[in-house]
Amino acid sequence: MTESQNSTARLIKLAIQAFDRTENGSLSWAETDDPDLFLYSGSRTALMIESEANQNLYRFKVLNDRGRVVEEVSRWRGQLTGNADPWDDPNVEYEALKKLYESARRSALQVDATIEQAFQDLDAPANDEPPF
Amino acid sequence: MAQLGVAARAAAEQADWYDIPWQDWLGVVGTGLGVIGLIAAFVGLKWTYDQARDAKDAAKEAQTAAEAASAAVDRTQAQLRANLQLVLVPGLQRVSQELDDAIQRKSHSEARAALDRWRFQAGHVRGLLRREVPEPRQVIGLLGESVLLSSVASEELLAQAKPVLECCKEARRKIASACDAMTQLAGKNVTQVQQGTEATQ
Repeated sequence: MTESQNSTARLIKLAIQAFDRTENGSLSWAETDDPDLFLYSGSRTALMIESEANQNLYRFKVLNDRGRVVEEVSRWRGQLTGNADPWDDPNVEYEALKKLYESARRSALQVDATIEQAFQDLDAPANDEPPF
Repeated sequence: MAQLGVAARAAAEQADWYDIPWQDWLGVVGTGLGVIGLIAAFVGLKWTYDQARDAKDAAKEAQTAAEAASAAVDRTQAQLRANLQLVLVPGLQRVSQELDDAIQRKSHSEARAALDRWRFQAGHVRGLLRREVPEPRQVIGLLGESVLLSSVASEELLAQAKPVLECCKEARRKIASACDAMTQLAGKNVTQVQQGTEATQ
């Protein structure tokens, strides 16, 4: 495995771990001014996950303490990973980034809490005041 | 009898040192060892005293050095707090205002310039705050996030595909939160300095 492949493998592993942490609620993402980009800010590092080209491309970035991108990986839908084993699903890395993006988006936009609130609003007695 | 005494005296005068009986030799050796032991005891006592004195001096020096280091840290902290209040917080507030002005003027380029200045200044302040003891983590986190969001907003402004406010709404919100947190921190530090001054008076 080349150094570049090693680096990519590590980034994908990091993305998977970030997904797991997001799903179990121990990691929260924030919205940014790019509606397709979400940010996690840690004490010394930051992560960004974004979607481009109508969600046909996902890009995952790792940033250092000064906000500089130190490493990134992007995957197109259908892009081959270059795995030696032809039986491997070539889109596994794309799927990993896609899952992270969707999880980050749900976290940043608080989708679950909003839906829950919508249910409560529907169950609440009708009043004359408009919701907004 | 007198002759016996004279004879004995004469015999004694004629006796050499190697003619002294072995019992007397034991006494001589014992006396010598005793003297040597006494000297050794004095030497040992002096050595122990010197060791104790050196240890006491070293402890005193270490205490003095520790006190000096602690005083130096206190001076640095006090200076940082004074800088926060007088220079850094007003500086950040000024940049935040510049961003608001740019949004009001609907100028993408001015807003970008303000965000660039924010990134520089907030990054600098964040570095300084990391030297605080204890580290104000919440403020450092807010500053860090504001820097990252400013970076994203700057790209949006560059594209000029949306109105200015829409390009930097999230960054602006985080910048405002960071400014508020910094103002609170500076106020708290001033209070601490005042209390410290009162305590020493």
